[in-house]
Parts: sequence; structure tokens; C-alpha cells
Amino acid sequence: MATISIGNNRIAVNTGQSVLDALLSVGTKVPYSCRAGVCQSCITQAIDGEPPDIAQAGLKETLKQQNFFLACRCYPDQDLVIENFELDRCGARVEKLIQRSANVLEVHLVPDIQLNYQAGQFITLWCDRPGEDVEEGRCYSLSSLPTEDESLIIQIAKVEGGYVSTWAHEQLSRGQQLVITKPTGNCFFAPEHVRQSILLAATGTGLAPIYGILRDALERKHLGEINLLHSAKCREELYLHKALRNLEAAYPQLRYHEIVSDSYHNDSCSNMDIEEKIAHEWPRLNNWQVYLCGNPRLVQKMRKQVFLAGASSQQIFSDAFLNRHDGLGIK
Amino acid sequence: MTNLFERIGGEPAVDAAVDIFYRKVLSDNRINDFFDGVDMDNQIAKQKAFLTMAFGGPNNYTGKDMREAHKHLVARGLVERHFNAVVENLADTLSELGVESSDIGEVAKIADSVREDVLNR
Ligand SMILES: Cc1cc2nc3c(=O)[nH]c(=O)nc-3n(C[C@H](O)[C@H](O)[C@H](O)COP(=O)(O)OP(=O)(O)OC[C@H]3O[C@@H](n4cnc5c(N)ncnc54)[C@H](O)[C@@H]3O)c2cc1C
Ligand code: HEM
Ligand code: FES
Repeated sequence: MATISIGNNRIAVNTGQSVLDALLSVGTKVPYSCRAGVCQSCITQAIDGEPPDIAQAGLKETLKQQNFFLACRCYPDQDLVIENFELDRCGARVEKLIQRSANVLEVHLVPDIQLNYQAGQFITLWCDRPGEDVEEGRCYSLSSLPTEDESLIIQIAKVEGGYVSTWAHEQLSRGQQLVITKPTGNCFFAPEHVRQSILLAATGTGLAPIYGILRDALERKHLGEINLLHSAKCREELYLHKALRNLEAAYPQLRYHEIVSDSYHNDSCSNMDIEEKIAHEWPRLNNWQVYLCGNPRLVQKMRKQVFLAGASSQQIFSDAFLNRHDGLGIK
Repeated sequence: MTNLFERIGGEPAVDAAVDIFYRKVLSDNRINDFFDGVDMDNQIAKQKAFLTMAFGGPNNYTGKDMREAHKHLVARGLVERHFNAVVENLADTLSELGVESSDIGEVAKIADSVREDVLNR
């Protein structure tokens, strides 16, 4: 058992318990979101003691050296003194709201300071729970292109019973001032060479980062074939259908594949599931680069599938849209 | 005198080996049930660190010890024949990569040295 000190508090962390869980169990206010080491919301710094390696997986080298670590992945083997839970936040103003479909709200945000990022990375959006002393943070991926768009653009799917997505859909208004965590993440365009074949697969709002990555690839004049698959529950939720068809007409290397999982709507769409479609059309993916974003279960399934089809593990990039409940089961 | 890690081709070769090896394991019906739900990227990173060490490369393996890592699998029925299947996949991988059979023998010996630990005996 290790002890965590934060300010004047000393908190016992039981064996098998994460630092995040220990802090939450005594009511400490800690930002967190995925609980799976993905979103980096729970990043903190050990000012005394060494965090275990696994708690630093995915962090930048400069942060590792300063003993920053992720509280949700930290099962400490020694006592730690920690602080600094508010790393890398900034303000942002809502510039524009676009209802892309019944389910998808696009939000344009202008940050207070100039931010460096790659299309496809994600921010964390924070909202207060009125009357309660907690704030909720959730990750949203960027479909904007830093070289073209002045705003950060995110696309938020409405989630039945979901706190932050419902708040965004119902409460956000133009001009509103918000708090975000600066962009991070490893799912962005990084081809090995300009003629590499690329597979981009998105379910639901997984299209946000995929669309950003696609635009980045086209802007960099990628020459290899690019196949973009988007699956949604119904045709109306293929919410960038028109924009993607236009890009397809303008760029001969791009093919856009629509997938509707509801088989009533299969006129020109594929009536296969997205992973079946990939298995069927691309049984061999040696030397391909693959990007997968959206539903965590499908992303995990597709990752395994494209790996078995020959894609190198270093060439598969993915963002599983985990929520805090999914995260609990992930090792 | 170069060690096995260097003879095999260093880090790039280990990267290639881990991918091919893990692909074989996930496709092998004798053992792939044990890997259901295991995070692929995590596992690939760990296997890479372990193989690098086993081949005599720089030692970055900081994971659990072999006994601890496989305890819950033994409880789920992991026995000798599964172990042999894994070693077979590893040997096939190396021979596919053109590694000399004497070197493959050496790797098999290193793998064999953790048999009792993996099987928690
Ligand atoms: C890296 C990353 C990128 C992401 N990018 C995007 C993006 O671009 N666009 C996007 O739309 N989303 C994205 N997400 C998902 C997003 O962060 C949120 O998880 C999502 O918006 C749901 O948040 P919420 O607050 O609305 O739902 P929550 O309140 O967190 O609830 C989530 C779900 O769990 C259910 N639930 C609620 N309480 C419980 C409980 N106690 N037990 C079990 N289940 C419960 C809810 O009904 C709901 O279905 C991303 C996630 C990650 C990790
Ligand atoms: C040469 C023998 C073997 C070696 C060197 C080896 C090595 C490893 C290593 C390094 C890990 C990661 C441990 C960690 O978490 O830090 C691991 C985990 C694992 N091994 Fe092995 N292993 C061997 C045999 C086997 C066999 C025979 C099986 C089953 C058929 C197996 C199945 C697994 C599984 C499923 C995990 C993941 C456990 C989890 O995360 O739940 N291994 N192994
Ligand atoms: S990284 Fe810890 S909560 Fe997401």
C-alpha cells in the first residue's frame, strides 16, 4: 500500500487501486474522462517519488522527465507527492454551431491562445455540473485543419442519457466561453511515403478525426489511393455525405464508401457491416496504412482484423471513443 | 562476437518478428482463445520488450514477471501443449525471417527457460 500526498491531504492507495480511484473515493476533485490512459485528462505531476512506467505510457518525453503521469493508470509501488491537475488548459469561445444531422452537432471553437495541433488529435471539453462542485470532461476529436481553419472544429454525437453530449446539444450557444484541454493524441496523418495506400474507417462521429486526417492527406498531395469508409445507423446520419462526394469528384485517388447498418436503406449503400466490408474488399493490407475511429468495440475488432490482414502494427492508428464506463474494463 | 540480437538484425528485425509472431498466435485456434480481449498494442509492445531481452538486446522489459503474467491463464487451463504451440509459432516466425536454424535453436532454448514460470509449476 502506498500513500499519496496532495496539498495537506494524505490518501492511502490500496493494492490494485489506481491513484485516480483513491483520490475520487475520498472526494478529491480530479479531472478525468476515459479512465483508460487515453484522454490524458487526469495527468498530474509527482513532485516527490517516481511514478511507475505504465502510468507514463503515451506521454511526451519532456513530460515523462518531469515525472508527469496519468492518475488512472497509476498503481503506485511507492509513496508519491503530487500536484498540478490543471495542465494544458485554456479558454475557448463558441464561434459557430452547425447541426450536421439529427444526431450530430458541429461546434467551432476559437481558443484564447494560438494552439499547435494535427488534424485528428482531440481536445477535452469541460463543463460544470450546476450546484455540484464537480466538472465533467469529455474528449472530442478535431476535424479542422490547422493550416486552413481558424477555429477548432469538433462534431458531437448525441448520446442517450449522456451528460456532456446532451449539454452540448441543448445548452451551447454562440459566443459562449468554455474551457478546453489543449489538443493531444497519436491518431494523425503520418504516411511512410506519398504513394502508400490508405484506409480510413469511421463509425458515427469517428468521422470527425477521419475527415480531418483525409483533408490533411489531400492538402499534402498524397498520391496513393485513399479509401474512406463511413458507417452510420441510417442514411441521414452519413452527415458529411455531400462534402465527401464532392472531394471524391475532385480527387481521383479518393474513394468514399457509405455503409448503413440499417438494412432498410441499402439502395446504393453497402448493407454489410463496416468490418465485413473491410474483410471483403481488402483481405490483404500489407504495406497499407490504416486509421480507425469511433465505437470502441468496432475499433478494437477492426484493428485486429486489419492486423491479421497484414497491416503492420506500427501502421495502424486508432482512436476508440471510450467513455468513462467502457474504460473501467480496459487493461 | 555479435550476440543473437545483432545477428537477427537489431530492433527493426524484432519489430517485424513481433508482428509476424503475434499474427500467427492470433490466427492459431489452439491458443487464440487466451488472447480474446487482450489489448493488441499493449501486448505487442510488451512482447517486443521481452523478445529484445531474450535475444540479448538492450533490456527495457519492465513488465510483470512471467509467473505473475500467466497466473490467470493457468487458472483458465493453460498447459504444456499451449506452451509448445507458442514456441512453435515463434520458431516459424524466425525461420520465415531467414534466421539461421542454430539461432532459432538458441531462441527456443531461451523460451524454454521460462516454461516452468509461465506454466506456474
Ligand atoms: C479519444 C476520444 C475521442 C473522442 N472523440 C469524439 C468525437 O469526436 N465525437 C463524439 O461525439 N464523441 C467523441 N468521443 C466520446 C466522448 O468523449 C464522450 O464519451 C461521449 O460524448 C459521451 O459523453 P456523455 O457525457 O454525453 O455521456 P456519459 O454521461 O459519459 O455517458 C456515456 C454513456 O454511458 C451511459 N451511462 C451513463 N451512466 C452510466 C453508468 N453509471 N453505467 C454505465 N453506463 C452509463 C450513458 O447512457 C451513455 O450511453 C471521444 C472519446 C475519446 C476517448
Ligand atoms: C515463451 C513463452 C512465453 C513468453 C516469453 C511470454 C511472454 C509474455 C509477456 C512478456 C507478457 C506480458 C506480461 C506483462 O503484463 O507485463 C505476456 C502476457 C501474456 N501471455 Fe505470454 N508468454 C509466453 C507464453 C505464453 C503462452 C503459452 C500463452 C497462452 C497460450 C501466453 C498468453 C499470454 C497472454 C494472454 C498474455 C496477456 C495477459 C493479460 O494481459 O491478460 N503466453 N506473455
Ligand atoms: S487518461 Fe486518465 S482519465 Fe483518461
